Amino acid sequence: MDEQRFMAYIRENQGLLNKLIGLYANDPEEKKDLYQEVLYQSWHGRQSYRNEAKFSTWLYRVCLNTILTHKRKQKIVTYTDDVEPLAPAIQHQALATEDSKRLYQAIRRLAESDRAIISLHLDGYDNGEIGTIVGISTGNVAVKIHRIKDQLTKLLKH
Amino acid sequence: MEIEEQWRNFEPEDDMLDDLFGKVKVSRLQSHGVLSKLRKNILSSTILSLVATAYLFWATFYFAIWQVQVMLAVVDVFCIWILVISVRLYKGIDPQIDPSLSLLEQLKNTRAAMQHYMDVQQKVSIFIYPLSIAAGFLIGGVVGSGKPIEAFIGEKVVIISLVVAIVVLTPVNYFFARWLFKLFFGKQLQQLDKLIKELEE
Repeated sequence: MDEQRFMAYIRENQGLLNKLIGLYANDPEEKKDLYQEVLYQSWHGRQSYRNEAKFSTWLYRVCLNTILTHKRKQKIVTYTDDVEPLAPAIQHQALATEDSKRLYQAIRRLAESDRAIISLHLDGYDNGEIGTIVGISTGNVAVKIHRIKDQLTKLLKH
Repeated sequence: MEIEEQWRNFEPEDDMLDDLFGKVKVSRLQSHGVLSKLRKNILSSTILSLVATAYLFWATFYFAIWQVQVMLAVVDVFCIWILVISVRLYKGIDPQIDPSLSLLEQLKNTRAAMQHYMDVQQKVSIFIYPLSIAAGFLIGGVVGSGKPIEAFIGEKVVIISLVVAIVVLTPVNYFFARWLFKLFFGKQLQQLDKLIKELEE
């Protein structure tokens, strides 16, 4: 795979990188480090990508393996965005966005391994696939997802 | 709204990746991962060992005192042994993430590579520190005092000082190396241990 094609694949999956790196990075410097490391690792590991699999699944694995083995600061940053008053026509959309932001922030407060499992689950991977990607049994994935969802419900209520 | 839907709706906008796309070529990026750092450490210490070995070889022939030459020759052999170990260690650490491994396997591999690096450094240090201290002591003593080696090591106080230097400095250096490793990599080891434990629970 040449650089141009590789970058095209990365751009297609930019949202995935933004979401995953944002879940773990604690400041802009760390975020930049993680982006660079993920790009480096995916570029150098591109030969292991086989065309029969989805690029996004392959990139998910590279991202998680890279981010979680990378040295990170041990702190959680909470969102401090001020929400500007909005026109009624886009208020519904804004509320939906606010819910999503709250969910994202709640996930950021989970244990690091739980963040990986729940993001895979919410992105539509089944328990078997999650087990393979993370390296634990399907039964254990089910138990963990149940517990994480309980925890998220509590976090979202506060 | 279901959380799955909320998750799908959330698309964090981030200019950082776009900035990176514009500034750097992906093929020229350097890794800042822990395994790359270990490899860089090994490479710099190997270069230092190479310089030290070259100096010791020169010193072996320069000091025409057979006792010092024997001591330096032994240190030379150990230095070469360390160079071989360093090259092997360097080649044995793969800084690349393997996407065919599960997250848990990747974490364990990284943890094992870090531990192996530390173990090798410690094993090597147990052999090399006493010899280096003895060689340094004898060269420094002979050059500093201006006495011939026979006269220098013939004094009881010199032998006692040499033994004390070895007994004190070897563990000091050993624990200093451990402390340095913990200082640079300790937090990351804890982070990896915590993640492995979380996943295995």
